[in-house]
Amino acid sequence: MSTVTKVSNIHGVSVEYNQPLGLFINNEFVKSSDQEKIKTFNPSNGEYIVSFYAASEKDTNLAIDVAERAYCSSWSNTTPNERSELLDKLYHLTKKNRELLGTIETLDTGKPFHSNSLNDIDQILEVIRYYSGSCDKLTTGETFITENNYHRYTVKQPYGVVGLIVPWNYPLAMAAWKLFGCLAAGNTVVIKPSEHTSLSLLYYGKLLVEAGLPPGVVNIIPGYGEITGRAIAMSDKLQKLSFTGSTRVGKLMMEMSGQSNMKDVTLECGGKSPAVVFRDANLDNAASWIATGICYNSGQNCTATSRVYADKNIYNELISKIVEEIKQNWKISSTFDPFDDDGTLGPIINNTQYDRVTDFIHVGSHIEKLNRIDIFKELGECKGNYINPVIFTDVPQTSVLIQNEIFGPVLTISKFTTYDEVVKLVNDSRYGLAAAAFTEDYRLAHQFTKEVEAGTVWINSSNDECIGMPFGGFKMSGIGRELGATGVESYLQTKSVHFNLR
Amino acid sequence: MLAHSRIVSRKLYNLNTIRCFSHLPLSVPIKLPNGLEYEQPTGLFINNKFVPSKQHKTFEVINPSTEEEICHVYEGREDDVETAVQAASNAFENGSWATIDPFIRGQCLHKLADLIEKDKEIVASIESLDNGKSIQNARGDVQLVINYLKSTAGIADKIDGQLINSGSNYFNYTKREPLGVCGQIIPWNFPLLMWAWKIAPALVTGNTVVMKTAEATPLSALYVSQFIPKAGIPPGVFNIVSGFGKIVGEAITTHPNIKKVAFTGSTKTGIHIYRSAATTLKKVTLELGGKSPNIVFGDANLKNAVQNIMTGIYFNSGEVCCAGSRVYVQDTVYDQLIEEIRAAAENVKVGDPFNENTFQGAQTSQMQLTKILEYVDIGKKEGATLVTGGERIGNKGYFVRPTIFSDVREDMRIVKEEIFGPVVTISKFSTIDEVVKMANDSEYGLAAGIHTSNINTAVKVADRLKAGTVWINTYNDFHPCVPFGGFNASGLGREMSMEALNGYLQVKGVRAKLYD
Repeated sequence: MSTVTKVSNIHGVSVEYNQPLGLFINNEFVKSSDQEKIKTFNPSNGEYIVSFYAASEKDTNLAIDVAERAYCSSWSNTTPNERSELLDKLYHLTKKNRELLGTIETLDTGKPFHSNSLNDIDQILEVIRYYSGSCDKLTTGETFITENNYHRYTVKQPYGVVGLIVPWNYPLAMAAWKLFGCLAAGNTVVIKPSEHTSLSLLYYGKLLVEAGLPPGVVNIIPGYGEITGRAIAMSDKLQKLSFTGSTRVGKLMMEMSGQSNMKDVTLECGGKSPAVVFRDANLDNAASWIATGICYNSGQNCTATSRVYADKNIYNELISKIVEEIKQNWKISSTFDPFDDDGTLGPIINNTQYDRVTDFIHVGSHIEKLNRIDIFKELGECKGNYINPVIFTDVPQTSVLIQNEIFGPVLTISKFTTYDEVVKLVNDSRYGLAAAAFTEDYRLAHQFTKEVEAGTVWINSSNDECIGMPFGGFKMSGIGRELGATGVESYLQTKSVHFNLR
Repeated sequence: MLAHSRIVSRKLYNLNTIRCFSHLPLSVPIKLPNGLEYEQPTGLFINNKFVPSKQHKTFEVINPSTEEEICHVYEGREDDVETAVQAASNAFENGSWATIDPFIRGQCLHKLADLIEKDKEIVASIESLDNGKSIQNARGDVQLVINYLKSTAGIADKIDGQLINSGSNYFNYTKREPLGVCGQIIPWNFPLLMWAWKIAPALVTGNTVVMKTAEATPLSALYVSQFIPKAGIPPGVFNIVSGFGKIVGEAITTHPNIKKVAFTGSTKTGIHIYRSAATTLKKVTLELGGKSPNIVFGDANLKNAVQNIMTGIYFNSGEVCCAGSRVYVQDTVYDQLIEEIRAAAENVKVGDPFNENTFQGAQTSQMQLTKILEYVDIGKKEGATLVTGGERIGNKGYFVRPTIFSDVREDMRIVKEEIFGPVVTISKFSTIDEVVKMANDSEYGLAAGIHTSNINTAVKVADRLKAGTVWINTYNDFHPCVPFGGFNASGLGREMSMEALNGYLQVKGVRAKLYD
């Protein structure tokens, strides 16, 4: 159930590999029950890559049953240290396949190979190592000293089968953020990658087999959200679901949990993360991080630094520095080939998203008539969904561009005068995923950190990830946390035990 | 047939002296009794290099199963300790080890484990050759070493402090920071496992180390030290000065630049080290002796209990700090069990460590053999019944028969004092209160075993026993995340688990006032 896929770049370098196309259930690649397939395209040139099988509701339920059997028959009997060893094997296999995995990721998403895809794989390696070390350490309960004749303690236990639904912006990395902690905790898994970007996770199924993962422990079922995603969210057999995607769909996940068996739901959703630049900030530093914050992955990032508030005294200077930073460090490859190392900006993932982003730009320019800075000259004809970074300045808080997540390389910059004013502006959002502030003042940094409504706060940087720290959102950016210790905790339930002794 | 090892450069020194001046090569080829050959480093290990001791003194290393010399290694003295401490100090203050991303320290430890794993048969063989333990035992040790290094590597990036909420006006947090140069003195009963239990928590938390191995068993630690630079650990972070307690041990304990001493060995030496370290206020952790009670209740699974009693006392030839050396059997099953224990003891296979069927190898030294046989005499003189064993096997190699004394009184020396050999006393009891009293009647408190099927007995007796580790329905059963260490005279501090790391960290509290 695979095909030989050839990937090549303009330098004539090509890679051939066996791309699995079937649903990965019980350690085998199989056809979907209704033979349905999904086509996937290369966003950097619009070309059709291949079709893979799409999981129907029946397939999804089958996968869940398989995962349940695997939990009862083998996985729940493994010791944490056995799971740790398996994750270690996966670490070595992932490392061995680093370039190939990065290649598949670039093929399917258009992310620049050298400056983006390989970073994803390197982060995945860190994540695997972190969770392999966590199996026997982050699953501990506690003992309690109470009255003498009692033996009281808490125990952390896995859910059994867990459903994971992951997005298209960092396909394999987002899967890694959930998968390894979930396995470390002792659960078995049914995971749905995005229908736009299923190739890398399907390929990863081969590594899972090679590492010796028992059949049924991880099942990979690509499919449409409305069919496969829905079947997962509505299943009465899953006690836990973890989802990363838009806030709109996150809300649906919660609803479906309520409509079915009240499964525990962890949600990582959208964001409109602000950066505040105070007048004492190191402006070069601020400009550099802000540029990265909006340009990395072409702004297709839940924590993208998408709105900037700058103190009026340094406003103009900051804008020119940001423009300069983007000009120097962020560009689309001259050959539009993400395998070419001369580009750091990739295409937008597909036509739908492309239209969404260009619509926002259109509203900003022609309807709200905002000041617009185009850093690069207009893109000529190109087959890929490329959008050059755009900056809008003097943007009012009520602008559609500030109140909505754009998910593209579009930055708004606005002015502020006082601290109280900017804190209100920053918190005037239904999102609360992350926030950044640039200042050299100790007290101000602490005050901002305390008052901003965001799950992650960066002082003097932005999008500066640390996989050992919990990650997640306030407000409509999400529920629950992942990464760090929370990446295991969120896949465990607490059981309190009381022995009454004679 | 007991095999012997081949030695190079015999003519350079007189075999009758223990210590010599020497132009000993920094590595000597050794042929193991199982046919494997390897290069044994002989130097001190300082700044990631093997070097001769400054005074070029060496000492001999004996194979306890043949009493023959294996080789010589360089003997460090005070000046070598000084050099090592300088290297470790420099690495701590000026190097990157203490301040790099802890994840990287974890990666280094993980790599070290991988390198040992690749070479595990040689490493296990060296351990059997030098210590006398059976090859199956040595392989078990090496696996524990690998597991422990990997487990500790996995904690590296998970060491946290706290944020304490005392209101908006303040920002309070704690951080846990390394101590500096740590001195580590390890024993001869589990040479490489003790090396691992010490090096891992010290290094993963960002400290640097000067270690003294036991003079009876210096070989395995030197051998694996060649993996230290290959694992990415910078020079000076880990150093070994092989040598003798009175010289090297003393120099370490009194050196002003060493911030902590960790020692595993006898209680007597532990007390001396604690006193010495006090003059420079070093932090001290001690893993000392034990006389651990192993208790069998009438409702226990008796077959398993007998097995656990065997493991408890004859594993590693009884040279185990937490050996279950005093067995207490409930009167309702005493007669039955004493017979089964005797039969099991007589079935223990003692002999050539390199024989795959051997369970119990040689005692590690002449000194230890003599001490054990002296205690057998004492036991007889005190009026205990010698049920089985009580004698040396053969006259070449330090082998002792698995020994059992019964009909003992709690005040006998063989019941009170640590023998550190394959000698166990068996006593009878009736009630829980009685056995708890007897079990706790000891200056020690390292470990204890309980064998029962009853919920109340299991939990309540475990609560009442004064021991740092309590085993229920098992014995000598370790996991890297379960702490190990003693109550009372059995020691200070803990090994393994996060507790071990806490011994190599100090807490800094930061309280920042934000508003007036």
